[in-house]
Amino acid sequence: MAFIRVSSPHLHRPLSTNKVMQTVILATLPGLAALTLLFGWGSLINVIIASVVGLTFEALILKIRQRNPLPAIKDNSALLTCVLLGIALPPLAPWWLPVTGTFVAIVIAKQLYGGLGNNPFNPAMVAYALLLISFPVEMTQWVAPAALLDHGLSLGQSFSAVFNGTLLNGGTLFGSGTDAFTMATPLDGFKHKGALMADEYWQQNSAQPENIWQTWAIASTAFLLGGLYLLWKRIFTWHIPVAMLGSLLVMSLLFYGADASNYASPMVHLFSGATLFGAFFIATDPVTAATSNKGKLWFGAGIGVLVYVIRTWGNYPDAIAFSVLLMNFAAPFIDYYTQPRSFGHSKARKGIKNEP
Amino acid sequence: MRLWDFHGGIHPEENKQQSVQQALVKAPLPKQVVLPLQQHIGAPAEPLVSVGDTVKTGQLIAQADDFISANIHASISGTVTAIDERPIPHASGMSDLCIVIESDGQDDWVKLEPIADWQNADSETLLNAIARAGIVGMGGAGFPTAVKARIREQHTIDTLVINAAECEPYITADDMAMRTYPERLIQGVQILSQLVKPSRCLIGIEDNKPEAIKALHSATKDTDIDVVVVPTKYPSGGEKQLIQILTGREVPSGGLPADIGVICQNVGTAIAIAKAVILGEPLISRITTLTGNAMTRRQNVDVRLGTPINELLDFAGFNAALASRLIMGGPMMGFTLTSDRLPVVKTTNCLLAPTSQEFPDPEPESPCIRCGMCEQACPAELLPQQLHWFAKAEEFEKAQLFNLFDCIECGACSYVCPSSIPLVQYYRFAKTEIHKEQEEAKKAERAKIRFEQRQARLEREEAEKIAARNARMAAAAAKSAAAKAAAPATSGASPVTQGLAQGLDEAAAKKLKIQRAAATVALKKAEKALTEAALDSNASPDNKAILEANHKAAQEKLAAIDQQLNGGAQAKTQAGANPQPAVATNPNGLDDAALKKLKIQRAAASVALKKTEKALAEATDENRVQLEATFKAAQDKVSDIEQQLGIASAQPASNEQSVAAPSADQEKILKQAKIAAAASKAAMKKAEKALVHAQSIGDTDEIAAKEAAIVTAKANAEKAADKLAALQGVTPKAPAAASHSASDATPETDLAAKQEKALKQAKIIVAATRTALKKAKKALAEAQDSKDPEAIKAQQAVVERCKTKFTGAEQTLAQLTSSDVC
Amino acid sequence: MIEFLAQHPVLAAVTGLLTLAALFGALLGYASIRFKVEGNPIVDQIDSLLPQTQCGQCGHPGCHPYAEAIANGDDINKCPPGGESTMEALAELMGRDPMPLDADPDTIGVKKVAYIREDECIGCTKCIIACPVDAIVGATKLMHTVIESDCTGCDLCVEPCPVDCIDMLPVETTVKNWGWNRPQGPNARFEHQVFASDRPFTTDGRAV
Repeated sequence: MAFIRVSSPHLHRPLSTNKVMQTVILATLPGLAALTLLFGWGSLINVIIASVVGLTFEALILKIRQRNPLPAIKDNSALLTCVLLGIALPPLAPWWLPVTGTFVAIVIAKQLYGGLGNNPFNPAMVAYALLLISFPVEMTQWVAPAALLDHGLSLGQSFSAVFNGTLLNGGTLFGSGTDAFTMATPLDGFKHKGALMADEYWQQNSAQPENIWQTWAIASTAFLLGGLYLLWKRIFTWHIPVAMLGSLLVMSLLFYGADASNYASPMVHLFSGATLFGAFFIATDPVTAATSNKGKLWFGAGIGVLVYVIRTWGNYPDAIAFSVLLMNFAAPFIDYYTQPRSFGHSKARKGIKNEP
Repeated sequence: MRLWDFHGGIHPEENKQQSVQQALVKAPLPKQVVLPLQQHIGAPAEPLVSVGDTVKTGQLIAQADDFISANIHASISGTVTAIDERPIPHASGMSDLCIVIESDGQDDWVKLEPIADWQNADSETLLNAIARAGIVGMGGAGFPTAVKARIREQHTIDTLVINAAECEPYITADDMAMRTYPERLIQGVQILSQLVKPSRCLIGIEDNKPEAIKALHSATKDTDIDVVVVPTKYPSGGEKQLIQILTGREVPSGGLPADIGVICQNVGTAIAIAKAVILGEPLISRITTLTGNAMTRRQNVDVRLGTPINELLDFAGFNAALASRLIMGGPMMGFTLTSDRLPVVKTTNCLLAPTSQEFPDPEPESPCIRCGMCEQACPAELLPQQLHWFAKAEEFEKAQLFNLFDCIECGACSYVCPSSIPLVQYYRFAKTEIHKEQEEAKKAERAKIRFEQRQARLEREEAEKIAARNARMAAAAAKSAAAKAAAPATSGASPVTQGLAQGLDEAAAKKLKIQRAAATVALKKAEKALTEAALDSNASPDNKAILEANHKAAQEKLAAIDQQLNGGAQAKTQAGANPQPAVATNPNGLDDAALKKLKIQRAAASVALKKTEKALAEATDENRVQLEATFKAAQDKVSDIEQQLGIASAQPASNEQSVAAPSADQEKILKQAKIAAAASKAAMKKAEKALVHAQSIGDTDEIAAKEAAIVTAKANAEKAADKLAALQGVTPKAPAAASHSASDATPETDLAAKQEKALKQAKIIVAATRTALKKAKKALAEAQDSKDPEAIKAQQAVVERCKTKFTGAEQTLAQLTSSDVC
Repeated sequence: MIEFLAQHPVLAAVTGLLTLAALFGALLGYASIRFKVEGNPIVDQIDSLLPQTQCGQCGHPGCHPYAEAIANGDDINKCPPGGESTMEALAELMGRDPMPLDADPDTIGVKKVAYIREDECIGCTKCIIACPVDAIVGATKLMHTVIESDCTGCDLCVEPCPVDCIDMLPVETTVKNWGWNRPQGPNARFEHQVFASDRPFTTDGRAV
């Protein structure tokens, strides 16, 4: 009688890649729901367009690479990338923005590097950064919170806005005249406040009440909840989010404490923009992050510092994409210098070279 | 008591309940046992019995062959039926040397030698008893226990740890052993503590074995042994992990527990020690868990070593149709068996036959997403996924830098991997490759040393030879000088001076001979240089010309020396022949020598012929023609030499009555001709060789040049051969005139030799064409395989050609044979 | 002095640069003596990478001569017994581009040992003379045998044997030297269909 020969172990935990990805996608739902409630259908439409187009791209390029597309589609990794990109894009962005974005993310940033597991940069953030540089106007027009609008856009209106660039009543979403629908994000606004003191800025901008970031904070909290769920599920460890938020907090506290009138408060930094979304869903992408626990701390902290630096002194209002990409560069280096001390060794080895 | 924790670890489903429902039973006695000579780490045991011997249960049948090795005992009584290679339980599924015993059904034991007063026995007695019983670590690794117990000789041990954690899912062998024989275990622990004299003695047991814990608590009541209950987490039963949990100390990388003052033994081992010391019983059985849903009677059995696994499986109600695989050991670290016709060995703690629902076939490996779950699970605090990348890319050096060898292959990383990557297999692969590389490096170092020593020896020998030769030459020179000095004084023709003159001549001859040897060496060197130059297509033609000139000069020198030598010999013979007729036998002797030389030449030529034949057989169609020419040339040479031989052998007979001088004269001329012939042949051969080389390179210009060179060389050779033939035509006449009796025999033998030669030649041609035909056919088949119509056509033509040639050759052969018969 | 220099800025610059140059020159000179590294001569380093089979397949009489030849610019791909790994190690050491091995690809990496069919051996000692590492024992007119552990598999003994009784047999896998092979990897099923590869393809489309 003959039996098969396989290497031990013979037991496996029933948690496969597609389940991991699926869990992460599930965890984005509270945040996505909050965005939809607060800013209308735009984000949801983004996610849908990105997902459909992204999966098509993934299947196509795998066919061209002469690989079976089915397992790759089933592992949900492409879907996750598309969902994250869809959430990151401004709501009601014209349809070609998510389409171009998914092309960049799936084809260029992921598959051209060899597919899942081989991409050095976070695909969603590569796409985001590229779109931001190429189409700065479209990428920085963020729909005003629904609560501030007299009447929110219906689903049909939203689709029309996305695909035709026009509203049902003939007006345009972007450009002059219809400013009521879009506005600068709090971070953007604060950045361009010029010589005004912080409190003067909040007072002078009636359309930007001081508590506008609270709208954003609700969305951020929803993402925080999703992130905590993932932590509880042990999909990733606490190291990256905590290090990132911690360093951002420390940086903003330092400067806010030193000069409260010119620097945004830590609360603005933590709860507006994509901070929490980035901390739990973008920076934790395992493929492009550092691997050891110590390395993850450095990686996260680096992102936090870069986010603050770029937000405060850079040209862009938000900085998650650039910070994450910059730290992606550093990840292999961090890995080499943060090897854990292995069992039975007196100290950890640093770097890749053999010690003399 | 304070417990520590180790990094990582996993909590797989335990599945231990299935096999602890029934009490421990003895498995039925096997009808036949197969006992591998190596069931442990270290050197295999050396058999003490031979086929046909009758043995009793417990009898020593194979003895430890090294310091790290273990005895093997007969596990049943009966007859040794075979000592040969049998499949053994090993991940490779390969075979190894085993002793096979056919049972007589009696289970007749040898007389056991228990140590009655073991509490007061000295360590040496106890250690000997353990070593004699052939006990090895029963937890899985199988390290000889006696060696481990001896550790105190080099280390100070303060803690004895008994590993009762049994963290692998499914396995309950130790659990059942503790429930059934708690006293035996405690006795074993006491013997061990007597041996290592630790300050404390800990039994580490996972909290999922309440009954065993209870049994141990009651058994250790009056002892200073601590039963420490540790939380269930895989792999807490790993030696290093358990030591860390219990003592907080880390076994250093590459070190032993003894380095940190700890010695760790398994429960099964402790029980075996107690049995060996107190009962005198060697290790011939062990407790094995039979579990997995493909069995109906999941339980623990006390089974004799060497029992065929299929018998055990039958006992457990195994249903092969349900089983997805068969595992020896646990689900985390056990290995699959490819067959059930394998014996139980000392380390078989579990036989696991899961169904495909329990252990589905492994998922195909998907790409690593660097999720880092493996790192969180690794009890050795490694970076498993980095190691996996390095192993995959075969960057073994980096893998070693990332502490690959600290991996204990527990499988926790593979267990948690969402991409179902067979990580442990990657590490095993990398470890094997690294070991191989290390072995090779060692071997290379040894080869280097041996090579260098050999070179040194050869140089030394060469130097000695040269020194000896110089000494000889100096002596000869001194002698000749002395002879010269003596010569003028003895110019008279007295017999005494005659002898002296002869001595003088001899000295001169010797000198000439030495010169000749030197010239030969020079010639050889020149030849070698020439061949090398010929082979080296980059060498400039000028260079070649110089080399050729050198070569020629060397040849000429040699020929001149030969002449001188011959002349000297001739003179000597004449000198010897004149005063005394009795010396007339001398030329005969000389002829004998010439004959011998000729014979040697013939042998050499035959070898050359054979070689060309072989080359011909191997030759492709293109250079066949050319090789055939070579072949013919070689044949000619052989026939030349044979002719000479015929003449030479005819000569002595005629010479017996004739005067020595003419024959010697003739011989000299003949020899010269021969030398010329040989030289031209050599030149031709060289040219041919160069041609082959040029052809292999494919340089057409060079080929043409080389072919021209061959033609000239051949012409030279033919000229030389003609001359030789002419000379030979002359020579037979002289003796013929001199002697009738001898000449009568000559033509006949000559004719017969010629015929034979022709026959041989024809046979060779037939053989050669046959091989060519075969080759062509093969090429044709290949062409047909490749389905290239043009190639097929071409090959068919070649085959046709070869066939015609072959039939022609066969016809010639037939003719020759028939004429021969006539 | 300083005033003078202040008035002549060009001179000041030249003086300054000269002083600096002298200073750094002295520093470098000192460092080169003080921290001199006694490096391995390159030939020994190369030699340590070679497999020491002493087989002469590179066209040099032994590994050390080949090491010398490499140091003098010879190609690094002439060592079939060392295989790809040796060639790559040499490429790294010498800072050259890796190149395909100069050997029959079927025979690369197959470790062999010589085996004498002992009942056919006539005891001519020719193989003993040919063996570069003295791994054959025997005497005239007596049967010879190969010390397997010392045989480097160079096959130099095969040619001289007049009765052709020496076989080169691949080293057998036994329980002792068996090991797990490399898992096939995630793309094993598609590997032979990769459309862009620098490896040659066999007729059935499988990359070799």
